[in-house]
Amino acid sequence: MIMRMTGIAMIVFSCAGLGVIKSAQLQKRYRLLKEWERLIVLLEQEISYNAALPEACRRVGRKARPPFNSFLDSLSGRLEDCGGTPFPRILEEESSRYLKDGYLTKEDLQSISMLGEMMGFGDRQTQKEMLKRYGKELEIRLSDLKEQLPGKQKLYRSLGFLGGAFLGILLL
Amino acid sequence: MREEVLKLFSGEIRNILGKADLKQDRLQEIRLRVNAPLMIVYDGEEYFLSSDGKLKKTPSGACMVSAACIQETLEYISGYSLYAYEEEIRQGYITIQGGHRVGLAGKTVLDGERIKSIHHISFINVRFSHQIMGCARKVLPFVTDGDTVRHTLIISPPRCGKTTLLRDLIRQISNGDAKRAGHCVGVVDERSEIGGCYQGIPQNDVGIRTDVLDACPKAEGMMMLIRSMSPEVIAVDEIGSYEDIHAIETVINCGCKLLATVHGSSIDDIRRKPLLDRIVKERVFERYILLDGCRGIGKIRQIFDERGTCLFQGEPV
Repeated sequence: MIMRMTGIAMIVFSCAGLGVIKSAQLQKRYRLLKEWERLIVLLEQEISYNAALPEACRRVGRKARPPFNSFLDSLSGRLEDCGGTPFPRILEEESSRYLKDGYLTKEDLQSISMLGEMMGFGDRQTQKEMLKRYGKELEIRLSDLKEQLPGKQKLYRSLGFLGGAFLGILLL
Repeated sequence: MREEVLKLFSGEIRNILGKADLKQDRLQEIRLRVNAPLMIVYDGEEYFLSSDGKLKKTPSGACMVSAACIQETLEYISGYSLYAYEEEIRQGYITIQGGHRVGLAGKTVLDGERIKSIHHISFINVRFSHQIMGCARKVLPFVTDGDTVRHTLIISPPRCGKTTLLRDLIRQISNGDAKRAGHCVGVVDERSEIGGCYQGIPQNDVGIRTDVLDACPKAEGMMMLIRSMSPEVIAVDEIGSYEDIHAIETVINCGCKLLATVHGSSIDDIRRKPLLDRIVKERVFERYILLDGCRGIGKIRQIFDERGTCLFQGEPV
């Protein structure tokens, strides 16, 4: 009986833990997107100073937190190499290499890759406008996420605990 | 060819240039024109390049440059960032790493009477910058007197090496040697030809005591340098406008020495320009160095002092 109770307690504890982890991942995702938003502002600033993309990415990368620092640094290196790959493709490859296994969702990665379609052409003013628009979209996305965050976090935590409790009851 | 140069070109052209046995120091130009053969100027001679990298004297069998090739090359030259070269494109050239110059032509976009940009770029000319270290050795004793530098004007027709000579003069005056102390030199490099700056860093050796104000209008730049960097010598390329002459007067009144170049083939030639005539009459410059285009780049024809006395006469052709 003690063994059974211990097992059930462990299941409840594990499921509740899973809920807490999932909720923390949501928080982490929000923080990463917030960091990406900050970096977009820095990128816009670099472009105002007429920096070319490789230089701008390297400089912004120095001010970025992981995993964006390695991502931007590698992106800058690839752009400087001029290996014959178009910019949108390079951005997509580098984002899946450095950001895929983190907390960002598929949609977040697509949104980061979308930047490749906007950059590198037109004049400086157009580039700044593009980045501003991208930043605005990101802001809306973040604001939605922030609004939903407490509810979703609570839901994950509760689901985890209740799921564990349900399994425990089934095993009794 | 160096990797830094090869990577400027589209995959196809890169491949051809990679196959060709070209020595970087002998390569002067690579010309890309839409639907025209790939051309280079090598050792002063024009050649066409075939797909297998062979140099040909005739265009038959030469590799044809496509619009896609030009577009791809432009992406690499600008580091995927044409927007960052807006001002340079407006002027028709981009300076790249190594101090090399990429000339561009296509359809110009006007904003009133002013050129706003170039669209549909279809012609690219990559001109390689070559420093000739020590080419100013011969003129240095005329330009300096012990530790003093004299106001000097280098006069030459285009493509005769006046910028090359000025660059080496700057380097030697800045570095100094056993006989002469080095001087702080301020360079206003409006067209990025002297220092060949890339991201603010001179790609050519301009000496250890040299500050470069890159891509800055000459007149404004000279005043900025005087106010901020306290140079002993100021160097500028291709003077001629009213603003330049006015700034030159200020430079001279501030006690700075001036090294400058101007287009022309003789002192009489520059005296035909009213603004320059005035500074010749006022004996602003103490030395006039005339270059001779016929005998190769950087060859000195004559050196005059402010009174018009010939101090040096080059060998007749």
